[in-house]
This record gives sequence, C-alpha cells and structure tokens, in this order.
Amino acid sequence: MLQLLKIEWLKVKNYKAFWVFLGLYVVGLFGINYVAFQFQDQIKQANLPIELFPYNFPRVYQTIAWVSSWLLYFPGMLMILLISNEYSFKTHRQNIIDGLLRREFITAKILSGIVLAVITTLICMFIAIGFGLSFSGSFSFDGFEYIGYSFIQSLCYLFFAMILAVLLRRSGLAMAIFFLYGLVFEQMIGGLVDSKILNSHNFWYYMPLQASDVLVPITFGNDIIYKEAPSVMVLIIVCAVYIALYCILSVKKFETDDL
Amino acid sequence: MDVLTLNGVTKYYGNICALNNVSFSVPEGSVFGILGPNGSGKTTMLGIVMNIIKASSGSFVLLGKPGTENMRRHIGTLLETPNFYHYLSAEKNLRIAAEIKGKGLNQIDDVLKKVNLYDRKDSKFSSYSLGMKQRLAIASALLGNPDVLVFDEPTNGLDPVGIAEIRELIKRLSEDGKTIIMASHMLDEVEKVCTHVAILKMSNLITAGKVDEVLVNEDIVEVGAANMQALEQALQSLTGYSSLKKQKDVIQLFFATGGSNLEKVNAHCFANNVVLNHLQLKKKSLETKFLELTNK
Repeated sequence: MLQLLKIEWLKVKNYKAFWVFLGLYVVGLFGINYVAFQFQDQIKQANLPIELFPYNFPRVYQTIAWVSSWLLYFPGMLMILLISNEYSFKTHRQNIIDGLLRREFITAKILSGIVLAVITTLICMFIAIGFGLSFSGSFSFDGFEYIGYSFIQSLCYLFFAMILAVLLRRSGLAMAIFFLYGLVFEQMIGGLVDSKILNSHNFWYYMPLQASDVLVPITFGNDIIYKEAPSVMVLIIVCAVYIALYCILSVKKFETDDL
Repeated sequence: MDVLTLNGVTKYYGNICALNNVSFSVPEGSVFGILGPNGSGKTTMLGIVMNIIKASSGSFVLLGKPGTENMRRHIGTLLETPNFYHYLSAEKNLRIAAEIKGKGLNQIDDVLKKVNLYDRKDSKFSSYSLGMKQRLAIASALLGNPDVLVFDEPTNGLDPVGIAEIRELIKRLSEDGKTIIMASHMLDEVEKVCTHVAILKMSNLITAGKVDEVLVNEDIVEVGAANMQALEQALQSLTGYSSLKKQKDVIQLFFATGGSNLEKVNAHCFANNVVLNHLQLKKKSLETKFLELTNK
C-alpha cells in the first residue's frame, strides 16, 4: 500500500503542471470563500435581514463546505489528468510490464483519489476554522459533521472523475463530460425523469453527484430547495454505494481490458 | 530449462485473428529472435506474455510459473515504444521503474552509462531524440540485472553507430549467460546475434528452432567460362553439389553450408579442358531465405 503511494508520489513530485494546478485550486478555495464572505458582509452592512453565507460558528462549517463544493471539479480534473497521462504516455502498460499487477496499478489511483479528497477536506477545514475564528471570535465543533460530509462529497466527485478517465482514456473528453454532466446534464436528466416518467420529486436526490450535493446543502437549502430530501443516513449510504461502484468498475475494467 | 513456453496462444481483435494457435519454447541462455513482417503478430505475442494484452485462448509458462503469476519484475522488457513520463528526467523515470521492480535503485547510473545517456540523465524525457528514448528504454530493461531480457525492435530509430552498439550490448549480455528474446524485422540483426529463431507470418507461426536449422543457408558457387556448353558438360561429372542453375553468363552450383570447395571446382573444370573466367562463392542471404519462407 505504502509502496504504491510512494510510486505515485514519484510520478507527481516533479510534475510542475500538477503542483501549479493544485496551488491554484487552494488559492481558489480561499478566494471563493472570501468572495462569499464579502457578499455576506455587504448584506449585513445594508441591514438586510438575510443570512446567505453565515461565517460564524457553528454554521461556518456548512457554509464553507457548500461554497467550496463548487470547486470540486478541479481536484476531479487533477484525478482525470493523473489517469489519462498514464494512457497517453503508455506508462500504464510500462508499469505492468515492469512488474506491477494490474490491480496494484488501479489501486494506486484509488489511493491517490483518497489522498486528494483528504487534502481537499483538510484545506476546507482550515479555511472554516480560520473564517469562523475571525468572524465570531470564539470556537466550536458544532456542525463539524459538515466537514465529514464534505469528505464524502469529495470522494464522490473524485471517483466519478476516475471512472470517466478509465472508461474514456482521453483527458479532454473525460473533463468535458465531467463538467457538462455535473453542471447541466445531471439536473436535466433528473428533472426529466422526475417530471415526465416517475411523476415524483425524489429521483434526482439519488443521482451520482446530486446525492453528495444534497448532503452538503446551502445553509437554507433544506428549507427551500431540498424539501423532500432523504435523511442524511440514506444519502451517506447512497454515496457509499456510488463510490464502491466506481472503484469496483474501474478495477474490473482495468483488470480485463487490453491495455 | 525453458524460459518461456507458449501453448496454443491465440488472440482475436473482434473478428480479426492477430495470433493463431502459436506454440514454441525459448531455451535458457539463447538469443531468441522472433522474425516476421510488420503486422505478423510479434508485438501482440510479447504483449500477451507481458500481461498487457489478454489472450483469447491458450496459455504460457514464464520462468517455470504459469502466465497468470507475476514473474515480470524478473524480466527486463522493451515493448514496441519507449514508454516514460514525458515531464520527468531520465533518472527520475528509471527511479520509478526500479521502485516497481523492487530492485536496481543503485544501478541507475550504471545502466545510463551503459547506453551512453549518463551525461543527459537530468534532461527531461520529452527533450530526447527517438534514438535516445530507445536507449533509455534499454537502460530501463537492464535495471535489476535480470536474467531474461525481452527486446521488441531494439534498434528502432537508432543511427548506424547506435545499432552497432546495441548489437554489441546484446552479444555481451548473451555471453553473460542471459536469455534474450528479440522481435525484429531487421534480418541482418537477427543473423548476427541470434541462436534461435521463430518466424511469424500473418498471425501464424511458420517455424521455430535453432538458427542454423531453420535458416539453412546454402553455399552458392558461381562459375563462368568462354564456352558455356563445355562448362555445363564438365560440371555433370562434378560431385558434391545438390543442384545446378543456369544463368545468363554464369552457372550456379548449390552446396550445403560449408560444403563447397572452390579449388576442387577449379581443378575439376581444368582437368575437363574448361578454363574458368569466373569463379565466386556466394552466401545465400538470410533475407532471401526469409522471403522464401514468408512467401510460401
């Protein structure tokens, strides 16, 4: 396990594009939260009775998790890059030729995904604590579960990106589908199935990325947008099933295909 | 002991048969050439042995273990193209290969020196010329000092000096007792270094065995005289050759390899009152032989 991570580390350690991308993502996370923070500040100064983005404990965890989730496409793109690079350099073949088992190769990518999710979540946590402290002047762990949900959401996005990269092999195509599906098609398909086929309002809660999005709603989301959302426990189980599915399918695909 | 044994290995890409029921063995210590025109299935076959292509049927035994077991880290392989991380230096690429093989970390400098890339070890792979990439792939195969080496078109993209160097390297490795499996369409390459050979043609194995048995070369003695009719008559009583072929200005006599004796031919003709104005020993080239075999 550690040896696999070590090999992955050697692959990215001197990969400048990877680090520039990751650096921009971290700056972007601070940036997007700062923008939301400023926005809330202006609402407050205008004496409007709305609290869109509460940056005080305990709700800061949820706010940060939700705001940051908009940027989850970026670690997803990194994931796609790490996998499609192997295909385009044909190093996925060379790694196997050199003696890595097919299962080890794909396991290493799954481990990389977990590491990326941990990094994403940790950065969110630090941002939340930083904003929370500067805003409220005190500290609280209440609402910290949203950091955990954020981790599950990161895994959903990263492994969804992984299965796209494994299936499509080409980074451009995988990224385009990743973005379009997440931002447009999922809402569209979910809405269509709900309104035209099932006549319900529930189906879209269970869609691959949506299930994790509902787990981390905007602070007033459950009252307005996600009125009929399943319970947190159900959502976590749905996300876990998707994550397991992505991983199992990726392993199966990589183990049986001609490389 | 055989290093590699293939039993009825077959591969279909959809309806297209890329490899049809191929079976042969590679003895330990041999330099085993796999010959065949482009698209004859050489790389497909090696890809199956390296587990990057799944055989449709058949099996193989590698280093005494069934092909399903992972013996590949004990083999140094260059397959088809040099595959490395473009953004990493030669040294860092080899470091990854050594980590995967679990050996050879302390040999990176040595193997780079062996292929004359040591001075460029910190250059990015993407800045390498085709020949340098090929040499780096050979260096990577040498990591961990494996007993078996698989080279697929090892001299691809190399200049004449580079080709000679690789040929020397292969000879040296063979003298060290290593088994080398080499796919190539460069016939003189195979002729110069191989002890055994397998010939593939359109996904089928035509023949396999020792080079001197498979590619039986013949000595061709060309003779010419002012009076060709008298010469032909005189040659009727000469013994030792297997067949005779009349050309425009010369007559070709076919002998088994090493079976010809120019002095004897000359003396025989002279004794029969024919004075030769042309006498030459020609070796049948492997290329002719190969074309004969693959055009059958």
